[in-house]
Amino acid sequence: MSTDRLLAIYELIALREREGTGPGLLCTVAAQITRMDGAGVEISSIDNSMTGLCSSSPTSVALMDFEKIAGEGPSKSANVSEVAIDGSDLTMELPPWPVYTPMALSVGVRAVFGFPIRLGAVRLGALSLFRREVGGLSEDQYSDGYLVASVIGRSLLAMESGARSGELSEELQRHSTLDFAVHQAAGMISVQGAMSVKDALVALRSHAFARSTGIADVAVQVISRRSRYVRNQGFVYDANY
Amino acid sequence: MTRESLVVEALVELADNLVDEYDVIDVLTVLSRRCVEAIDVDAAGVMLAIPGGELQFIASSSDSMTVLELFQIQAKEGPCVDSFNSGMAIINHRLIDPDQRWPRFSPLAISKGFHSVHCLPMRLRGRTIGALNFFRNSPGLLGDDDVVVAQGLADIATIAILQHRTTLNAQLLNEQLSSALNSRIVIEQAKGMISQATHCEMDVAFARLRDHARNRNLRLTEVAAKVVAGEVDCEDLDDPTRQANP
Repeated sequence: MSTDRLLAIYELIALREREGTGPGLLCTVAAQITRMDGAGVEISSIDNSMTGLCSSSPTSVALMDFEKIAGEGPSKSANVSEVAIDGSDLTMELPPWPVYTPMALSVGVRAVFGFPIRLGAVRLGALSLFRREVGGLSEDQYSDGYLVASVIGRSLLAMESGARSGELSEELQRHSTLDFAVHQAAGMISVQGAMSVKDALVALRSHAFARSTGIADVAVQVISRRSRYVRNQGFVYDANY
Repeated sequence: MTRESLVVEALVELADNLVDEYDVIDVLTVLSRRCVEAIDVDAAGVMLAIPGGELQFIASSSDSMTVLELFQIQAKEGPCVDSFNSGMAIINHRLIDPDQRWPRFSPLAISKGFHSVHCLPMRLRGRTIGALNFFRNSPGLLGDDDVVVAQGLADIATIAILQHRTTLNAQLLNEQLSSALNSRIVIEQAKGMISQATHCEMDVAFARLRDHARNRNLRLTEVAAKVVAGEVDCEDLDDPTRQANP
């Protein structure tokens, strides 16, 4: 079954939620699913500067600090280039990041990888993975890296829209953010409310939470013009609109 | 026009499109439209799988909600999911309602006026990466010739995805699939903006994006990303429904 890995990720998130794993939950799951020694998630701003969101271990925290100090590294590269970044051998003679690499080596890290986190044209940030031995990712690990990055993207959106902690796995399984209607509606709302598509996605998500309905249902209302977004008022329902 | 000339014309257009900096979604849209002309079907579309994840709509012959909804449901159930999972073609499957096999998909497809459905897996090196889906809205069967042409077009669709920036290893294949699906989202976001800003339907919004890109030799996804970033104004896009005044 093709969706095995996706379900495995949901199950891991659910398990960690039951265990009460705190803010590092997404990173712990990312490291576990890709069989890496650790993971970190950084959020990007409009100017592409990165802020750490969560990490699975003290080494991940250190790596994120190093990226900030060095101004370079796998997360930054993945966020800007929008493709997966392969730093499978930091011990090579000419390492990919001259300032970042020695710092990473100093804490025992030998390989790092970066995956972009995005929703269409919206850049949300990047997932970085590390391990203590030199070596590339297998085909399955690459697949898992992309997949877990997309799940993290949807989680970030849910969290920003006020998803209750402990309900993330349920929330993720309820809808697919790849639903084209959601993105068409986000585009429409961004024009209606003169805001970015990212903020429009958050507005859609928040409104769905408030009405205890699915994001796709709200999206269909917007596309069929039964609902629209009014600045400073939020969603307005109008039968005659 | 004869079948042969339609197929040749389709191949020529696709070959023209498969030049170095092509847009995967643009090529797959051309392919879907050409399928409808060259084979006896009324709608066609391509679905791709995110590595390890669900099957997702990527391009179709018509951008109307009618067809898109059917593709959307197929992320969970339907001929494409079955064909994708088994790696086997589904040909001349007559839709029934109620249907135990596809309880959500079949009634909706019938309500949209479709009579039968066909699906061909897109395969590469022993791995299925997606599926090509066809709908017919009148009774009658697809002939063996139709199936051969359809399979040929499905193979071209596969090549279009793989050859994009020369896919040689596993990392790149996964990257192509992820990037193609993300491109589709960028396009949907841009369509929403254009539809709202210029008061047009979604299919017109798509046509405007596509025409604008083609007239300027830009990639479809690139234009869509510029619209979302606010670098291209929705009002300034080419409008294919409006004839230029002399």
